[in-house]
Amino acid sequence: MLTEGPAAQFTDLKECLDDFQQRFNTNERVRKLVKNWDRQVMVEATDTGAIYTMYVEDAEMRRIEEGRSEGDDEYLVHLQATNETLMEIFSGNYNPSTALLDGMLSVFSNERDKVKLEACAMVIWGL
Amino acid sequence: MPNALNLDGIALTTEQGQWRRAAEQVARDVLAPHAADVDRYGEFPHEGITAVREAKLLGLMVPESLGGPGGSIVTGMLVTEALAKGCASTAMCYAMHQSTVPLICSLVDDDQAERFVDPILSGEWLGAFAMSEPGSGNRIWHMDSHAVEEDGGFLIDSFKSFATSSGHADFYLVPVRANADVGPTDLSLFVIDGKDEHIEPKGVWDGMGLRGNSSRPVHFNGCRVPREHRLGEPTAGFSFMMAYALPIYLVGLSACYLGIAQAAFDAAVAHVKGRIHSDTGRSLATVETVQRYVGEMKVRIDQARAAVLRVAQMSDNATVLFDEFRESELLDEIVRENPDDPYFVELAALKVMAAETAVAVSHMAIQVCGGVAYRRGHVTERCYRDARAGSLMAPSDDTLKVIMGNQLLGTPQPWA
Repeated sequence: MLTEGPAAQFTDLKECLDDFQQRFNTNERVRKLVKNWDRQVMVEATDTGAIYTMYVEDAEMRRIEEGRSEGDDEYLVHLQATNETLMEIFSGNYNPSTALLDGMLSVFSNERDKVKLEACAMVIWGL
Repeated sequence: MPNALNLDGIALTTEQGQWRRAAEQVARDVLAPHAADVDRYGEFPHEGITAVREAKLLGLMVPESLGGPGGSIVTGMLVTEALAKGCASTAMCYAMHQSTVPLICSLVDDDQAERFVDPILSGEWLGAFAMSEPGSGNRIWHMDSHAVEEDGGFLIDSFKSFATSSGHADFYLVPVRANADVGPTDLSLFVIDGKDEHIEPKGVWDGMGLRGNSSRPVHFNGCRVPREHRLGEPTAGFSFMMAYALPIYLVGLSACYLGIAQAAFDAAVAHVKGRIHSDTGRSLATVETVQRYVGEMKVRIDQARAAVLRVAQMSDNATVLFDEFRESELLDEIVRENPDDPYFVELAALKVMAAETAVAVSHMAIQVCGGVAYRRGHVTERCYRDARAGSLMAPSDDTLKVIMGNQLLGTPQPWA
């Protein structure tokens, strides 16, 4: 658990992702961005082994489930980082593009999906 | 000394290599042989532009989706630098044309693509970007002139202070306020046919440097522009200019000044190697002071080239992000909310750095060549005068430094 910074308000990654889901679904710009972008965004904490999958369907993040994505790999976006880094990213405290450049985050997806995620981060947090 | 090892760490794609070689050939075979006359007589570089047209360089940045080669900003930078080594005036005309292309391509509908993009792609159309106005000077985010809607189109009465290729362009891209009642950044973008008889270039371009690029004022004196010549939404021009013109504009200018610096360096090195003093029987190249200057020029050029490549690559990445916002119809509001995003500040810093490098390097090049370079017509002397335009071209270096300072210090920007 983080001891300071915005992510410190969350006790674990799931709580942080739940908050992100709420921000995601209440942001009209994000909903415009993810129109016709149905994906499973799988988040994997490399140090704790925690894995969650966020299901984006019909311009909304429908649910977050524990465990690996069950969908088609073609629609999978896979994020890997330490638990703390993921919490920093999903609480808006760490620009995911910067995390990528810092070597703190790995993203396995096609290039277009990476840009989509970056655009979402920008409109949610103004990064 | 030839490169024994390729340690640049920059691998161009095959296409990028082909475009650069094509530009180098044009620069070597056509631009360089005419550069002295273009400068001496202040003549528009017709031969150079014809060669650029024939090499299909005008359509380089037309995306594949519109039938073009889809050249990136990095590729555009490589081409512009290569051209500038031959003739800076031609390269500047090219850079300004290039600044219009991604913007036009980002906004055209199918009919407009056929009307505006196809002639660019074929090499038929050279463009001019007529931005700055007398009221706001180099603060080109502020326009005073406006469009007047009338039957079937718009009436444009707009005086632009400087427009490269003025009087020679096949088309002008003209931003003006959408109408009289909107703010200075609520811009509409118009493509105006270069043959319009109401386009009035003013006077003769008699600059200190870049003497061939015809950067005269131009008055669009009551041009009647058909509705289909307006690009995109009526007031979204500013945001699209920031996203699709500013990056290639500032990277292009920087590439141009980098090419000027390289040309000055090459001329200086050639001179000092060939100049033998009779008293010593040795060339200037053996003089330690000269060696130091040559080393320092090399350092400055390498720094500038690394920066231009980095920001060009950054701009290609940013374009992908801008495309994402454009397709989601969010571009206008996102850009308006972030006009001093750190990315734009990187672009500003690049232009300042490249312009200062060109002045510094051409100054040193004159210094090592000595009195011969002080005579009108020497390549280093021409490069120095060409380079001097860099800090003044809008937005001027001083304006850009203020913008950078405000962004870094969190203080209000001049447009706020």
